[in-house]
Amino acid sequence: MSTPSNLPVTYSILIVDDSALTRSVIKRTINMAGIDATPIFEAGDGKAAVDVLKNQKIDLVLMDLNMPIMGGLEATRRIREQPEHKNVNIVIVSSESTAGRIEQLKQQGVQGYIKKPFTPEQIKCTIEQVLGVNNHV
Amino acid sequence: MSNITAEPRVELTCPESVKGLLEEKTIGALQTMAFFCTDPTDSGALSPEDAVLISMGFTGTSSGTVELVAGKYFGQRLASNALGCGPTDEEALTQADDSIRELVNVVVGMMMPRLAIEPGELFALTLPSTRAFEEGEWESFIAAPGVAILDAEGDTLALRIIR
Repeated sequence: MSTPSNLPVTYSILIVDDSALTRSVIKRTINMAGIDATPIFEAGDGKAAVDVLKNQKIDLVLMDLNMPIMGGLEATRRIREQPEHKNVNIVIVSSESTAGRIEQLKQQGVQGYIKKPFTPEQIKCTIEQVLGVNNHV
Repeated sequence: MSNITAEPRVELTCPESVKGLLEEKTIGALQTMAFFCTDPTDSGALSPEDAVLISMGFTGTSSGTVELVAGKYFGQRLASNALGCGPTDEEALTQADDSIRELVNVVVGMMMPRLAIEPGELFALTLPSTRAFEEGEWESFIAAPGVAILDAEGDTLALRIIR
């Protein structure tokens, strides 16, 4: 494993999805990929995600779009409004994949998009790319 | 960002196209989510035991509600395959209902580009909702035009779109 010297060795990742199954699968994929993510935080909706970011330093947010209470687009907008989180990495993990939605996400300044259903390899590659990790399983 | 590949548009007024779209996206979702080999089956399939009906609406230039009927044990198998545990393990039991809802969420999301008239079109999606499904509802459910009936390694699923 090699890690650029200007990046932290471990990463804090926040998984935001109303599906506990999807959160578990992503968490398992991160662990199996050998990405040193400690801790991994979880949130079941966008509002809970915004609350986590108020109290924790997060390197990467993996965000679903269609969630109760607050969806991923609104949560992304609120996160970006906070100066301290303006540049936090946000990757959308969603089944919504119309060209219009992708364009909307680009305008929100997200760093990536993973289309559901995803493979573990897609999760691994995107996380490594966004965080600048170069791990090999 | 991933590129979007243009696929032929499906009209909700064409039952055969709707059936084909439901089959294609559900089979693909199950293969990727949980390594299920799923095949279309005939209308003589029996109602799943201990079944639930999951509904999820979409609104745009095409609007409707996708409904899926599946047995609770299928949810356990879906969760167990996705999580790499046994179907009767605690994790699979607690995430069985959630796994079927997530399947519907994924299938609906995958279908939207095929229902859009313009490439830039946005759809509003509801959250998946669940209710118990009575065995007596099965015959009328599968009699609907455009219904897709699938065999997921021994478990029967049925999907349709209500306009």
